[in-house]
Amino acid sequence: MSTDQPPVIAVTGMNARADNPGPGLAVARCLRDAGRAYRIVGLGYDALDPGLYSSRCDAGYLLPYPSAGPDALRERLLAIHAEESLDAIVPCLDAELPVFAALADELRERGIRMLLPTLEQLMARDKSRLAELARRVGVRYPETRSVTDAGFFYRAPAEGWAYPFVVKGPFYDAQIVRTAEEGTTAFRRIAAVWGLPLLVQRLVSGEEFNLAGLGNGQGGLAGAVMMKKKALTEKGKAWAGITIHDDRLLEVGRAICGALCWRGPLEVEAVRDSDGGYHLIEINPRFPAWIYLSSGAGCNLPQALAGLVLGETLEPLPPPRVGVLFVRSAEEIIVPLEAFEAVAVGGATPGNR
Amino acid sequence: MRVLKRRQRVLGLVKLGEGESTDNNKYVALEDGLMSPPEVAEGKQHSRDVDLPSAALLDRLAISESGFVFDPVTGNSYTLNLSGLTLLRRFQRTADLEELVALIVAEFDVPPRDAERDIIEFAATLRQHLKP
Repeated sequence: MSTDQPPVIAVTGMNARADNPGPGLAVARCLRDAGRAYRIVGLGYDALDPGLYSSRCDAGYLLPYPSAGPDALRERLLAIHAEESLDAIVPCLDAELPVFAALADELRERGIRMLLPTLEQLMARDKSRLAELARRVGVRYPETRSVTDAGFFYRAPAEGWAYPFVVKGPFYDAQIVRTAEEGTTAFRRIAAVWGLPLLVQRLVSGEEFNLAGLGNGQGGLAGAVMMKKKALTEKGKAWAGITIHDDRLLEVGRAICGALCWRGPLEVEAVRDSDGGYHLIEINPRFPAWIYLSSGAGCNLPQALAGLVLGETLEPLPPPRVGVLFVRSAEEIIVPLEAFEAVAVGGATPGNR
Repeated sequence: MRVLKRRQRVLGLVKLGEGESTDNNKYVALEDGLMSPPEVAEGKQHSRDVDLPSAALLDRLAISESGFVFDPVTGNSYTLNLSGLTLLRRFQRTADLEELVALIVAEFDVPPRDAERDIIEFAATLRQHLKP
């Protein structure tokens, strides 16, 4: 890392569809809020990923989709590294994490650092193994089973699965279904995108809370911000939320980090029932799209991550302020044709911004 | 309707923004008379405590002058009218029904039996909405 140039940090997840934005732009915005300068490189997968053109990034590049495998990603990252002299990468999307984790050692040798969970840690919080993890850390987890055929939704009541319940994709997507017809429709829709098997999960009645945290890799939770969703998009993503503090939820986050020695960002999704007890729903191995709230609440987790990745000593993070509300808005970024052309044809925004 | 002076209702608590609930609760606009008033024996109506949420739960609430109430643990927010605000603040110090009735009677010029009934209903509303 050069001493007279700001550290160069690449951030993925530059997609920002209003109903389901990626976390990348929010992470970049947090880094912009940090008390030091970074050169921020946005990494996207589509020429229409808004973050590539945002002023919150100094440059933007396209990556091959994770399905292209580690070789294609390695080649592309090294080409970008030759242009940008990357110091660090912050992967922000679930699907790309295994590929980045597989390349972590090679990239480190090239001077590109990341703070990522290991492949074993990623697997331990996979939906298919979450029940086991929940038992280990003493958190309630709604009964879940694997489903491979749509006929299940007609057999469900006879097999003890009364409607409504939740249908989930193996990596992503979830829908509450109330009838066999809704179930089969959801099954086909989700399976067509994410493959089989799907999961069905008992519906826990309550309110959804999220914890964004940063595992230090040694079993500790370096920082955490807790949020209650106040408004949702049609996809169930937070459109508004407010910071809260509940020691019980914080303890869930600490227990997960402790059990897994989690390295890097994570998001814990939980439902709080009427007795105040938490039911673990999901663990996402990355920052959430609402992570800018951490900066707004005075506990800038991406900034802390950048410090850790760059090898700096992490000062204790201040506790986030409680009662800080975010309300998301969607806005248009005006893109000159030349910039769109440069990304669509050459895979990179033109020049430095 | 039990009318309080300044046209304030004790049952003036509205929960804000519950669109995230999985059981599809939406805005809760409480209506007067949700609770049946308890039968109170003459001479004993001011000799007991109101059944309130726990002191820890009441103490954690952030209550503003405007009647905006925020629960930092659940993230829920509410608005109170003046009589609700007056009562909630007093609930943080006492559950003594006699003292609470005297407060409402003095502040809002209502008959003691109406004040008592509204206080008990308001306490029940709080127990319903404020969770541990």
